[in-house]
Amino acid sequence: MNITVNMISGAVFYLSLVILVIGLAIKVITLYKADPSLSSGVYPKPPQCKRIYLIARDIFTCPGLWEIHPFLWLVVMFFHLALFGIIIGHLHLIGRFPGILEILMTSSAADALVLTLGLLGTGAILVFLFRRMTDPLRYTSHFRDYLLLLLILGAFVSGEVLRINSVSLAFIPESVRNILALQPVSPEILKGSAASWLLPLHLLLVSFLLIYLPFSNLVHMFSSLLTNRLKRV
Amino acid sequence: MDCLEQNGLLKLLQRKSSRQFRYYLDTCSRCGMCSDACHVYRTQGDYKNVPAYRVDVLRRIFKRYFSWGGRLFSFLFGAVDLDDHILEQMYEAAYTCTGCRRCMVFCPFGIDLTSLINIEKALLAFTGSIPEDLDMLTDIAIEKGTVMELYRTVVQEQMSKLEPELQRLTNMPEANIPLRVSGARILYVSLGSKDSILIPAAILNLAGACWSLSEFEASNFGYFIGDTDRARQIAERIVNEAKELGVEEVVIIECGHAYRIMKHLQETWSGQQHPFKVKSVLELWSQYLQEGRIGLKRNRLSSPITYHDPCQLGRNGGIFEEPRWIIRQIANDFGK
Repeated sequence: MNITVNMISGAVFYLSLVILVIGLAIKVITLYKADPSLSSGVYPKPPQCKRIYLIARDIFTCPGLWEIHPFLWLVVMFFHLALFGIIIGHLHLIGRFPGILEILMTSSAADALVLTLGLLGTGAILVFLFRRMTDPLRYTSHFRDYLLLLLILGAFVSGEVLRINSVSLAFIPESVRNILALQPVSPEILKGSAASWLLPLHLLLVSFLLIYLPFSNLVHMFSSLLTNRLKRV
Repeated sequence: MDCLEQNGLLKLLQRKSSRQFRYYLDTCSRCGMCSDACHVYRTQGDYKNVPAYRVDVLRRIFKRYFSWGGRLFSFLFGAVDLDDHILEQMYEAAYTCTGCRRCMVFCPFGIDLTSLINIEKALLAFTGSIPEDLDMLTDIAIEKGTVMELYRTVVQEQMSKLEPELQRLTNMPEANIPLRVSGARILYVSLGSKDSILIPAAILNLAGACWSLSEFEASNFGYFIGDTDRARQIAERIVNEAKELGVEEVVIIECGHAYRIMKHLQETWSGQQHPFKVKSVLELWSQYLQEGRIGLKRNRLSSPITYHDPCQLGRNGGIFEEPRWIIRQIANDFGK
């Protein structure tokens, strides 16, 4: 058990980070080597000064989605809001934020907010899964689409349960800092708490996600900027 | 499918896999938003008409031969071998898309699925899987460009037969349909049909334009079958004619595809800039009306009227205001 936990919170996690970096580098090189694009966006073409604003609006507010599917727009927004909250929350585990953010992150209202975001995010993934399994999307979905959603769902839920059970325990932030300082979690510290199996499980799922990220359509977190830019060219 | 054909197809696919193509394949999450945007899917309700499904056929082949993930874990990516069966699916997928690019507007990532479908059509053209009539019309159009001398007399005779009707229509005894006018200001490109020649000819005569009718038709069937090379050859006939006559403007009939090709695509295909401006007749009519060269009887339409932008002229061509301006001149109640 100790060896497994050490492996997950150490070697596996670090290996996933290495694969993530190499995978993204290969992706960038492949794109760089491909023939330059012959773009022809849609009309009306915005003036140069308005183009950046429109690209940002397309990426962050998805106006087309709102127009044809308001419910799904809400689900998508909740999901991404939850992701944003998760990133902020994880940064909080590594270091302290100054000023108002510190107060926000430590107040009980913040706890409720994080819990709400977690639930909304989980709900959103379940909606995505349901859509994938029903017509017409089930015909365009492959195993990797389900795998991706299940990995995200697993990471979401395990992280949320971990937070609810162990957030008050001082060793979680410390463990995260240790992992990032290349000194993985010591299983002895985890003994006797839910975190003894939840943290390795969470880390394992996150590691798989990191490995999978450059090969999955999660790269849209970077490439949607490029594709939305092409639309406005 | 034999090995030679498969290799040829894969080479073509590799050549077509531009940076834009790769962005699109990497980014598309098959979220299905495009299904709600596609009028074919909305009216037919068949999953095969979901735009993401249409391009998924191409993605599965690409993953199988050009990505490590697809080669090693084909089950994960749905990667498939390139064979006759998948080409049949591709045929159905490619030729049920109208190329309107509405899906691009509503896609959260702005993916131009039509550009991917055009690659599917190019692969199909390589194997000869093309709707027979379109293939034949493409060949005829190219052939006409090479032996125009043989047709010239026939075209001139046909125009001469139309001229009496044109003179009655315009009440101008001198009205004519000029062909091969060197130094003309405008080269008007019709669809080759009587309607697409007679009425515009009347307007051009009434406006006192210095013009010449193109010997070629605007339609480009090469574009419909995704064969860029043949589409370029068809458009080149008009470009060469315009250069030969030294015209300042090439004016294209309402056909959206023809306008888009001449205005936006031909220069990219040929790698040469046009020495003339390209206009749609809608732009020219609007210009003539504003200059007072032709007139309209105002308020002729009293019932409520609206205008639906043709995809290729509006979204893909950039012509929005001119048709609306013209309608406002004749309609009392014009709304969006």
